[in-house]
Amino acid sequence: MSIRSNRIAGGDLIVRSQKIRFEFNGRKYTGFQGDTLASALMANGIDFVSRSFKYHRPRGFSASGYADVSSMVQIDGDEDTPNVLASVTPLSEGLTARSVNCWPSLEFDVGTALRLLSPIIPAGFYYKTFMWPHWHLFEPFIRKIAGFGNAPNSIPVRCFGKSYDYCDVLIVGAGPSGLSAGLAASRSGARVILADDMLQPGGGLLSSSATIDGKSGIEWVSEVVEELDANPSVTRLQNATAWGYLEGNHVVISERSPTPENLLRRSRRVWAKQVIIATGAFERPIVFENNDRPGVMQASAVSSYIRNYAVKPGQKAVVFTNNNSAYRTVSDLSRAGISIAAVVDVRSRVDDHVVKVASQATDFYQDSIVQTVYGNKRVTGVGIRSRETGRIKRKIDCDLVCVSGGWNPIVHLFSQSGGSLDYNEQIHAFIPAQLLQKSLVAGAARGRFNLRDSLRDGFEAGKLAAETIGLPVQAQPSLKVIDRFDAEYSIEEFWSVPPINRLGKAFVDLAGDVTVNDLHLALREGYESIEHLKRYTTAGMGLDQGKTANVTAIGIVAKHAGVSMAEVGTTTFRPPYTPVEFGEFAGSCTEDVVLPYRYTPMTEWHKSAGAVMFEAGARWVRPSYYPLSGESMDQAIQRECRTVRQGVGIYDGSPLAKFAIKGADSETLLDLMYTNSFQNLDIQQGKYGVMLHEDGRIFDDGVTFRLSDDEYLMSGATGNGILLETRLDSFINVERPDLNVLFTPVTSQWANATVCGPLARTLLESVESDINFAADAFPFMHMREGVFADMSVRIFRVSFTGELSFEINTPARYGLDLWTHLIKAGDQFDICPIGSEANHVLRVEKGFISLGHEVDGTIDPYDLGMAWIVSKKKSDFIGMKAMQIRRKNDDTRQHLIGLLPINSSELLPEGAPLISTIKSTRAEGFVSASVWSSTLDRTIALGLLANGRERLDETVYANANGTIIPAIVCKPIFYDSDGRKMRM
Amino acid sequence: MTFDIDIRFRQPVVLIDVRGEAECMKSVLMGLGTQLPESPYSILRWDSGAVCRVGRNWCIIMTDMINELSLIAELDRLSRGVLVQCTCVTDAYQGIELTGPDTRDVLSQITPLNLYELEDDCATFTEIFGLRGLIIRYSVGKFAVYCDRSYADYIMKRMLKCALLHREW
Repeated sequence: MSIRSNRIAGGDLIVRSQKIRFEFNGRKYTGFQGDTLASALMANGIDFVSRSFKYHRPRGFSASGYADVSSMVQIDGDEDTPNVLASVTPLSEGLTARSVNCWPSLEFDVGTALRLLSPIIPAGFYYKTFMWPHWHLFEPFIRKIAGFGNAPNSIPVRCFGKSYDYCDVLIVGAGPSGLSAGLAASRSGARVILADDMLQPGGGLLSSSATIDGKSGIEWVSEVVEELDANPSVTRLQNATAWGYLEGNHVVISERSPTPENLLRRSRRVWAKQVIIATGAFERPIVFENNDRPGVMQASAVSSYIRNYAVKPGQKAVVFTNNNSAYRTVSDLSRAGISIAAVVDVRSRVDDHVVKVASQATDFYQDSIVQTVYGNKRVTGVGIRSRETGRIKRKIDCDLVCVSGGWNPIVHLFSQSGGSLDYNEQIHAFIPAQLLQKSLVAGAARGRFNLRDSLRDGFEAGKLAAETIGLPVQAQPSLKVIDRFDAEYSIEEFWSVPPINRLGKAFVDLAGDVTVNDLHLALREGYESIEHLKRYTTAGMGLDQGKTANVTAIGIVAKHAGVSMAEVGTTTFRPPYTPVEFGEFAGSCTEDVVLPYRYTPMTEWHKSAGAVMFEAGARWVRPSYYPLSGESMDQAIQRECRTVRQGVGIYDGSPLAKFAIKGADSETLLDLMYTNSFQNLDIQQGKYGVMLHEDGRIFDDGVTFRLSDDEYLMSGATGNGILLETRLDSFINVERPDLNVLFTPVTSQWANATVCGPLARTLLESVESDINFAADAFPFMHMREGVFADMSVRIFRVSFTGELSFEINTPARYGLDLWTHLIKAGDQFDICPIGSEANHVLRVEKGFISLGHEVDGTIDPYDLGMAWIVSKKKSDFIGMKAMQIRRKNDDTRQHLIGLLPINSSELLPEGAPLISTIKSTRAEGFVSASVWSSTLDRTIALGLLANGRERLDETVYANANGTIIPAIVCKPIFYDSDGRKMRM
Repeated sequence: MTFDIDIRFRQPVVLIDVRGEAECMKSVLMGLGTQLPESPYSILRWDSGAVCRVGRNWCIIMTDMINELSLIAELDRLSRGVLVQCTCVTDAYQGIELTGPDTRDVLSQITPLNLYELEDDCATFTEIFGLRGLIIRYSVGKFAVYCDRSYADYIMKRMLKCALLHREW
């Protein structure tokens, strides 16, 4: 089949010397540099490109730019992208595109069978059907046929970017008003960002026959763009959509052609002192039967394809309108050699110059309407009638219907900014009324459709924006604008033509296949609010978010309900204005850097030693266990535990949260933050403390050492590092600024290698050091500073494993050296590194609490049997009052207990609820930690149980998803209950 | 095409975190032979190093590693008995240097800081990929970023991605 060419002479935006090859639905075509995919397809005689959402009706090109919801295609290849509008996709060499929402092919689509069901699948049908026997029977089928294109299967070659930007004036839109505003603002010296969503700047000027100071629209645009591009304070973004206007004059822009070229897309978040919204206006349709057929197009789009791309959208046209602007298209059709079979104007009286232009058509019908369109995959004709009679007066053969129902200012961004809208009875459109943020609206975006007004409006806005931020402003130059169609915008309100029969389909929203009958049905069913109507019918909920449908829908509803447009109002405008790819939100946050991670100085050593690494809280990547060759996870963990209990192990304690505290009121601070008292600590002595939330539940625990008269080093749980810092900051600087105390976070300053086990001291004494490690010289809960293996160190005697333990801290730059030195020195003692899993087992054996296990956000120290840590003498500490009030009122509290499964090799699942009888359904507690203990050669567990301390030796049951495991309640300590080993 | 920028880890420098009432900090710094910068976020240089004023009651002293021990000892002496906390944080931070004509374009991906308002020889704590970090501007095409040392690997990898330097194109 030969390809029909619809090219004509001219075409201001295409470069005929540069041919481009592309493919559509498996067939090869050519176009020119400057073409969009839509214009190139149209030039090749392709007018049927997709199937509609619900009824799978044939669809073609209905409009231009972002208003054309029908031309949705899938781009295949390295950067395959679904649901792309052909009308805004630049043609590129090798582009491969295909139709969506059709199977097995566009021409023969099984989905067209849905049309037979259309009488029983009107708006909201899914609220009333597909319920018997149950929804899930129909769900897989409906999910399969829903949606349009396919999500990409691979990561694109190029990257997504994300950046932040600031400017004095952000101008959205580079049509005549936007460019004028740009001139005014940039000439004042302001830093300007000008963002336009089309492929070229100029807006409506590109397809206008107007002249400005003797230059064509395109020439004027080129000159302005040249001036702007030469100004280093101006950033001009083309093919960039401002899709969200957020609080604080914060606008988000999606750049689809960013630089450098290795970027696929960029999301630019801009904070502007002033925003000028010069977004222009969309032409809206008139709704009539079969107005969705390929060949029915907006009048301005027809002009655009003729002038900009030198494409004839058809051979024989009918123009249907209710306003003057469509008559530009009549002239353009005539100049392109397209026969104009008729001009049909709903108005009974029109201006003389309009009559003159209409004379280029074969016939001119006033006070008439297009009742229906004939044809299936292409328009073959229209039926017209007078507005009064019901019958079709005449059938006219044609293959193109150019429709203009008026213009809607693009108010989306303005509305997102919080501004309010008013309905203007002169232009029959919603226009910006009350501003909320620091913004201005100019040109067609506020209903100034006349070119002269638009230019002046834009310049004034740019001037005002500059003046508002205190920049000097030039006077507005006077421009001589000649536009044959620059007469006053004249329109008669007219929204739709009711179908003659009830099965006829007149589409309000092409994106969702929403018809006039659907709106009437919703009204009959009692949906009066436009927000409800929208949701019930899905009008305005398609990928175009109702850009051309919303106002028409409001008009139809208002007319049918007999109320005013203002009374109906609009639905809420929400970002994004156009679809945004997920990659733009991610930016560089992908693959191995999708989430932040933290390393210690020894992390690479752990990895090269074969450790299994995991994220252990607060983004730290820590070793879980170090399996030797052939070892299972359990075997490795048990070996590590045995090493610590019998010899010496070493683990990386660097992530522990650490804070340096200084000041005369340091003790007071510690006393307020912890439940116990930190008075009278000796220098180099430490104390374990527990911190509560304001509500009296445990927040953190850790050891604090006194370094000098007024200096302390506080430590806390690894996972709480940031929270602790926030708490200290808030407490010292906001709640108690009277305290003479300062703090500095030092978590990453110090690397920590902890040696633990009966041979820990022996190991340290084998290394050259000026520190005396003997038990009487270096008691438990004390620290020493000195030199160890030629490194400055601080060594702390604390124990998390219950064994003799020394935490050796050195500045992080020496961390790896310290670690490798200890490994080498410990070789003679069969030292082995231990991971978090072994640490977990060892602390369970000792009954030491852990945040996230026993401390689950509901517990206070008394529940854990730690009454000893709550000072009886202090008058206050954070959480004290709340804890007292709660304990006064609560009869039953959960207590920390130990659990010994009756089958000593059966592991209780962590988190399993505890019940008191086999058949009970009431949980009285839960298993907080459960391990195999190689020390005891059996399973053990910790848990929280109602009144647990009074229930020792009782048998309770862990309910593990229906499997009931009995265990005996015991004290929560299984090893070295008097703590002798760690105090050696 | 990638961004025209060079990104590399900096050699270590001594960093001392100094906090306290401004008057107290002034007296300590005078004892060192320098002073507290008057303007917010500015850097004052003296023979032995530089003082970055990063808050009303907060500054960072930077100097060569060779001066580390003597500086720490001197600050310890000067801050005794005064409510000024001088903490060595040399190892808590990792510096990354960014140089080249596209430095600001890359930095605008890394931080929401208004880079137009950061002048030469200015420093401020801000967000680096949502994490706290210090940015120092030396000149229009030369910046340094100091981040928590534990995040250095992540931040460098992500910076290289932002600059499109993470793979061969």
